[in-house]
Amino acid sequence: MDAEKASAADTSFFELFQIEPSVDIHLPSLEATYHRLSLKLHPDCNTHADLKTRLHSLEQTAQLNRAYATLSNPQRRALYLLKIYGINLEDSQNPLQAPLSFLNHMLELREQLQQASLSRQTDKLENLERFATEAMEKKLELGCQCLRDGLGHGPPEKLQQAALHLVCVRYWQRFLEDVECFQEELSS
Amino acid sequence: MSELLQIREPKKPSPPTQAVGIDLGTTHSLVATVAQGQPTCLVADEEDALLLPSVVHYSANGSVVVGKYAKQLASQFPEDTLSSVKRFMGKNRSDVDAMQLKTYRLAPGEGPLAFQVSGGPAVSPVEVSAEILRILKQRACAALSSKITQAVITVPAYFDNAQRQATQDAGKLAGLEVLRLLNEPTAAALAYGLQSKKQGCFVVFDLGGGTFDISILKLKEGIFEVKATAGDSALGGDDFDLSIAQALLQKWDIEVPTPFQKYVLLEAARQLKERLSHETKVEIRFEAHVAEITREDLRQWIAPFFKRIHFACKRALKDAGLAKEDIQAIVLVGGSTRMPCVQSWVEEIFGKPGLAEVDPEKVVAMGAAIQAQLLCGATKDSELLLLDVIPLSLGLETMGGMVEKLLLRNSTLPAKATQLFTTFQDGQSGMDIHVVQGEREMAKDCRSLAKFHLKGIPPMAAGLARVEVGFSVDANGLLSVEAHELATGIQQRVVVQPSHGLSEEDIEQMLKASIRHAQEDIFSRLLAEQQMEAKRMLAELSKQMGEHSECLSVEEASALSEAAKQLETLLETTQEAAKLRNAILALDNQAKNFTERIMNSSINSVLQGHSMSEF
Repeated sequence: MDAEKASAADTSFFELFQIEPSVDIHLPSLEATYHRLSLKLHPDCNTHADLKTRLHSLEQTAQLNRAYATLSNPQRRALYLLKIYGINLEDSQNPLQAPLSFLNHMLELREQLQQASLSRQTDKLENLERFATEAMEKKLELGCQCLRDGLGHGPPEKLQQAALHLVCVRYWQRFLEDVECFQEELSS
Repeated sequence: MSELLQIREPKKPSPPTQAVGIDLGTTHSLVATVAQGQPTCLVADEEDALLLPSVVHYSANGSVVVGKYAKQLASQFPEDTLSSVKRFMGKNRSDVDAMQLKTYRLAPGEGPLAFQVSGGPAVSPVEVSAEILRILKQRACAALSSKITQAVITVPAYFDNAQRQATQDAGKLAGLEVLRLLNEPTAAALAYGLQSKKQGCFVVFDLGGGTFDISILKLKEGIFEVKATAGDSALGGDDFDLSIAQALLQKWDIEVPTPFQKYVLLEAARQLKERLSHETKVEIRFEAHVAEITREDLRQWIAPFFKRIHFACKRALKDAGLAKEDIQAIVLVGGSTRMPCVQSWVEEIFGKPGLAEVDPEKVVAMGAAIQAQLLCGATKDSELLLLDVIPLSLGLETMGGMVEKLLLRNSTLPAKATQLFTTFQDGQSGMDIHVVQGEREMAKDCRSLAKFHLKGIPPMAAGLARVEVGFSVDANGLLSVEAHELATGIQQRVVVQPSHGLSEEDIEQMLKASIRHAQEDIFSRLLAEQQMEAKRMLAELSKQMGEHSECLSVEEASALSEAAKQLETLLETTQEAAKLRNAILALDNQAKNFTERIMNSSINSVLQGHSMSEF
């Protein structure tokens, strides 16, 4: 994807926070901007305004909240950046496949997960959780590194690589969600 | 779609009215206001008590008693004295099973959940809650010598959409404009944070009579930002009482047959639990049985609940992206946090003891009062803002019964999200939209919020139609959904209302009825209700007969008109509610075929459930 395409795409979340699209952002200043804008826009801070203003402020606040949720989370931020550069991983029409070896590994782990939950081994579940969390963080960092190299005028294949890493991150995330469901079942 | 978000009209300057904060609790309720800048709880019950027991007694003569006196009547009339109704808010019949030791009589048959009581028709949990709110409103009016019409009512953060809706309905039914449904832990954090003026990340650990919430908040320069919330809307001191009672029954190897015995045993269990907060061992008696119970016994009996609480705390920390070391302090809220055993759980989970600097039983009502003050416009726009979250993910059922989440749990309010869906059969003309709430992958494991059918998609090949579904959650945590087909602009909006919720008309009707209720005269109240019902029915019938004359033969139409005229005459002449009731039922019965035909003629099919096979 070239820079032209990037600029034409929707960069509004970054614009809203008045920062350049980037993998690494300074979280405390992002938060400070979020608070400042919330105090200005939030309907609860505009109880004296007329109805139209408050409806408008509601729309804007919802958008601000979505932008902050996206930019403040490294994984969502990376996915959003990829989208800006033309790779939309949420597009189900055009799914990107994870490598076969990775999928095999996932299958194996899922079997372990099933067994651990059937035999009610909470410590086993915790080990799997820890393992998956670390693996996910590692993949995310790899993805972010490729993104850093590929953004702007970097080589386009870097973006493809980033996308592949992020697809794997999603597999890990779903795995962790399942671990949580099993943990919840065991706790009640 | 924004007009669905129930934003209030701007205030006109009017005589001073005060908005109050109400903690509508499982075991007791409080009302508070802000006086001279300080949140203060008001007298809510007899003998200057601030805590109003959330107990409502329905007498055979039709009068309703709330609070301490109601509680005193409970041993004599266990079946007509309702407590802990908060547990039933927004619930279906099928949700209610594990209450085997409770003394309620559920009204038989299908339809919304209701309790049979003497002196009148069955009452729903919403109506019972409204009785409590009405008393709180009256007491607040008396204490402040001013008119109270607006209130912030607190709900457990983990309440789902149906439970929130039910609470809002109860408020309206009590004649209150509900400025906001405020999450209890957030309210507590507001009161605590303003008092202590501390900054940083805090945990609010709220274990009350019937619900458990944990919220993690970040306090920074006037912004109270909820980072994550988790909990269990059916876990609290009541469950401890039940466990204790069951353990005692087992210990003595006895069965408890009568409602009275159940009541006595549960009351003994509650007292045992409370006394063990101050003493290390306590003797308990029940009829001929005696036992000495230690703190250790109690700890073992309620140990199964620790797992659930631990899981919720762990999940909240994870969702907030924090470790327990990042937490500055744990604020304890709710009566059950007085138990030494619960305090030791808190320490075990977070590695430091919890704080109870502000009275754990009053702190929620005080926070609600502060928020009420901010929202009613009494203060100038201030640099104080609460940012709360949705407790449970919201999504749609897709192919194969899977859930596509549109808004993830812990999204900040107000929140909006849209998602595109497409048809999967050639020429598919409709699409079922099934809205669910919860974390599970399969729709059947989540809470179903609403089903509606988007009609009139123009025939095209599979995968070409573009249906955009939009979710909006307002500041009360209440959801509205809209769907439209992008090519044709066909659009449908739904404010998600549980099937067992009340419609606006229901509320209005009940409100009108409750004006008479103030006379405390059951006969005039019953009559007024029936008169209202008769009028409503006559108006509705004449409207439907005008609009759908094609559904009636000439003979049927004249017979119906004749019957309607009779009811009209009776309405003006009789003072007997029962007579009127019978006439209403008779007319209803006679009109049944007619109304069924109208229903079938598809006008109301929009909200009917359909199979997901067309999706």
